Amino acid sequence: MKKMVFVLLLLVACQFQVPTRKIPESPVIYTGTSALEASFNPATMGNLIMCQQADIYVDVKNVGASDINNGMYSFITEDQYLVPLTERQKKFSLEGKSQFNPKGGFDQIHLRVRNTGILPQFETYNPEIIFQACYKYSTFASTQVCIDPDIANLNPRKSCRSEPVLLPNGQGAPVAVTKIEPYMVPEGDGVTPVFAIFVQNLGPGAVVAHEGAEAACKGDSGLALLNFANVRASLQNKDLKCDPNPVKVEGSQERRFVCQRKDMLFGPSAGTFSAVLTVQLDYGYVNSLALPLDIARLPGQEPC
Amino acid sequence: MKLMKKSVLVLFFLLVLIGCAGRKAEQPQPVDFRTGTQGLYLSFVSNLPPPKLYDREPLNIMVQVENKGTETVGPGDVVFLSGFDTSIITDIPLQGVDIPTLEGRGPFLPQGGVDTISFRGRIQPFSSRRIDRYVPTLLLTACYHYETIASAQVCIDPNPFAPTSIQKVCTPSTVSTGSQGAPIAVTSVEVEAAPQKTRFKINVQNVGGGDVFRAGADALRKCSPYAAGLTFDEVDFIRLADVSISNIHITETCKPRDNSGHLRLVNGQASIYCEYGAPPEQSPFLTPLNIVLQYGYRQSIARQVEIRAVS
Repeated sequence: MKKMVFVLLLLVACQFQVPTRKIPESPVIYTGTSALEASFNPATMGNLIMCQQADIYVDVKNVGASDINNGMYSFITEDQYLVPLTERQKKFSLEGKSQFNPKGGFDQIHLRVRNTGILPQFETYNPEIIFQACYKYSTFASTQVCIDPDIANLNPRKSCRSEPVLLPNGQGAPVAVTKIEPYMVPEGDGVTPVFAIFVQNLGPGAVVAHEGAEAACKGDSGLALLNFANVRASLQNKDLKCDPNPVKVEGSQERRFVCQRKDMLFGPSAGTFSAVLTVQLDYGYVNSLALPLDIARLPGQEPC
Repeated sequence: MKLMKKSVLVLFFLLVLIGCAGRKAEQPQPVDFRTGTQGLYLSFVSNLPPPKLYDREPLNIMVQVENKGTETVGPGDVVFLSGFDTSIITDIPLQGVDIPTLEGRGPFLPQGGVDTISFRGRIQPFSSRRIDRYVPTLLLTACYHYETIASAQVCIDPNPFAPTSIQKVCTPSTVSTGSQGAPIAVTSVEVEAAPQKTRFKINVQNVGGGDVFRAGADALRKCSPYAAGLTFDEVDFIRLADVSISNIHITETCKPRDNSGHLRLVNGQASIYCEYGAPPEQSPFLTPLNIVLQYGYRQSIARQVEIRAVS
């Protein structure tokens, strides 16, 4: 009996182990090189019989750190074979990643098309349906840079050194700030920081001008479709002047621009410290996706 | 049986007496306190600052300062906190905080003074700046005056090459002095005896891991991380305050020294050459050579903190 009580006590005691509590980590938002991720849903009918209708489903996710507001999508079809039964061009909005929505917004876009027939000499025909999403997007890069007025290195004990900062992981947007090179330019007893900022399109789509986002999906043409991004940079809540602005972001080429502010002078009394340089890039972005269709004629099938 | 009892009692009594005799009142014994290579010792108090915190939270930093050396640190000596953006972390005094008076170790004081210094800052909200996190390295810099007092027992032989065969109590040789409870140490004294003149080569080294600079309020101001910085003619200098032997001050004979009595350390080391003219009629004898060095000293420690945005 005593033994049983002892064993029971032992078991009960084991229940009082201090549970190991793990402090939840807050999600990292400003990372990654994608904005809109689009893919055809498996429920999409890729094979259809002549004269039949097909449902096309596109899953869209905003995995970037900015919201998409009043973006536009459009489906491009070969009109002589496929007639859209639902709207093929529409505006859409999708929330970006945030502390409260760490995965970003998600939606599904539907298009119903009907085949109007294929040429009599063909048994099958393989057109493509192209999905295109055009939207305004922004890159926000907040990077720690070292402001060091002591360029002569009189004080070897410093909290940081002014050296290039590499940013290989993106900032939750397709156009990424990849590198920042800070230069401390001597000016009297102090220094004026000058930043060479490198940007690159690391996403799967193409950059258009901020104001040209909608036009890209409407099939318009003009200057608005050129690959330019507007730049804004600030240090200690003061705007810097960037040159060139807007900056051309073409293909996957790395582009460089320089930001500084003439009246921003850090004397010895400022000390050496880590500051946050914020860079904002505003641009339009276009994602495209193609779905190959297979339209087959049944043996002896009459025209639609 | 009675005799046996008596002898047991006597034995017990004797034992008590012996026991009491052994209980002498313990006198505090002076200890050899002039050892060690540190002056001021700085350390962040555990979790102050915490390794991770959020914006809009107060930033509390507490530093423990301990005088591990033998000289007093105190009024006029300052601790600075730097390395952060003053537009993100505000309310930290950039002019530094005075170090409270901390007595050094002494013959009857095995531990020097210990105290704490606090910094309390405010973190500005990140939301308007679109900052996810800010990870500054907080640098704590202490600038203070210190002194090294070294004593080496040296052999003075006014007639080292005298053609006599008298017994000598000592032969002039190098004396190793180790450290003296200060960041600048007199590591050894080399003695070279010549007729009527004994030359000393006093070897000095920066053993504290910090930066040494000219003593004085002006240099102490420049030691601040918010100042223009110590220049080439200020850093790595110590002042030879006094060298004496048998109560005779021989500082004036010492070289190299500039007009203000300072000399430069090269790669953290220096040698001072002094000489003493001993009376020729004196036979060899052992005597303490006392050396006093004065300087400013800078030490720093760093701690990285991660500040994250609440929203």
